[in-house]
Amino acid sequence: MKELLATIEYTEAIVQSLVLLVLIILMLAKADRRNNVLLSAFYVFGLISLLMSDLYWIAYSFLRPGTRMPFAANEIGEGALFLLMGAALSYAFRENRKKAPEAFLSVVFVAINAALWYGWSGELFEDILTGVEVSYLFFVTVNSAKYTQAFKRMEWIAVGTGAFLLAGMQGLTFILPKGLSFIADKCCYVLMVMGACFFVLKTVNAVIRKKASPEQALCISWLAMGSMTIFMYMSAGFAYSAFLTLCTFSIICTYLAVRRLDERRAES
Amino acid sequence: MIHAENILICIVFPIIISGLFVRGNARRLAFSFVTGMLVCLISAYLSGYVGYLGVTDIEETAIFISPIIEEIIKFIPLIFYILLFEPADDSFYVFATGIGAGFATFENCCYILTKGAESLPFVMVRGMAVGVMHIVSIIALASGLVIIRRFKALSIAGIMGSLSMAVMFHALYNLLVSKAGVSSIVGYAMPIAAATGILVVRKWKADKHYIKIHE
Repeated sequence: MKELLATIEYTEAIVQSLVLLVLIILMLAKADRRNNVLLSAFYVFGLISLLMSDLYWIAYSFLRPGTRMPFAANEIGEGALFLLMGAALSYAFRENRKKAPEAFLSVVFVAINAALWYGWSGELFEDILTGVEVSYLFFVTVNSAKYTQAFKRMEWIAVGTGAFLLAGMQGLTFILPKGLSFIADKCCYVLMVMGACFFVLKTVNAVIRKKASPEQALCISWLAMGSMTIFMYMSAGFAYSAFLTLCTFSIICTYLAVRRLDERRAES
Repeated sequence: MIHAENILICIVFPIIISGLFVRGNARRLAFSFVTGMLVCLISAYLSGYVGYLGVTDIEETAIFISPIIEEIIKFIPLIFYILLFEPADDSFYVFATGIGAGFATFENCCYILTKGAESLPFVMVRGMAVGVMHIVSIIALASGLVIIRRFKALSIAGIMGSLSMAVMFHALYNLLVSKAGVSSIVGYAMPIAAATGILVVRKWKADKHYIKIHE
């Protein structure tokens, strides 16, 4: 079982690397025709960082199997992705000066997550650092999503309630006795699957079926990618692999959203 | 044991004096080269100190900690230069290249004095892999800074993102060359491949710009 899981994780990491490579080549091939130069530049840098992070993880797993990573250098690449994607979105909507209350709530949600990561891994410094980077991404993304009205009021309420319910449940797994903790853990997976389904449907509608404006599609795909990452960090085993696949899918959607916004700005 | 400070003094004096006889980008390159060597010495001290603390052993420090320390230390003069002197893009690239070349040169000098220079293949690998790697990582960092400055987007997120990218490139290289075999060959080829890629893209962009002007 362990070997099967390891094979699936390697395969997924390799698939994600190939997808990232293709997206980077596509972005660079039309670099001189881009209308959102800064958005595209930050986005490409973010993809390159994630690609190097994946390659680092694959190389480490093959070269030093079973050894503890003294410092997870691949997390620097993931951190760069969060910062650069956040910066890309913040410059895409730089005219927006308002700060939505939901954006501050998303920071609280990520802070709770950082505390949970510390509970699981015990790596205080790395978890705080990752927490700050993910907070920045979520703050900018949620703020931009509010600005572009990418989600309806009821959707915000559902997503917010689900997120804090999930964080609370995960917290309960630390304090409840073993039997109840098991149930709470399974409830968390149910919530994560519901959340993942919501974001996949929303992203497909917005980006692929083009039922939202390019600006909204951009925010929705960004939020889907961030949420899948959070779900990945919260899960283990086959669930982790499933969320990694969905994360790769949402990255493809971010590319399509960037391309759509570019085409729209070229027309206007 | 080698006396790295003495080696530094020996190498930098002719460069400093030659820098006084030239002007413009030549002087900029000379002084940034010296800065690069100084920065290399400081990062060696810091890496040594981390090793001394005993958090990681010598090999782990070289593979996992050094890339982070070296890239951060290389980044400091770069960010000071861009913020304080606000140089033109070309001048900034000259300064960045000088730091990378100075860093690589001093590191190679110390390495060769420690390990010897009898084997030509070893010296070639040292020069063409590690030497080029330092230049590629700092050019990537400088490119990131130039882009975000050009669009008036100098922010902590953008700067830290560019720095992280340079750290990842360096860390991946160190990891790949840490074990003999196919991985080390890939690692040694990585900097040259990246440098070739950057040069091709820059040449292509320059050609396009030339065609645009003459149309």
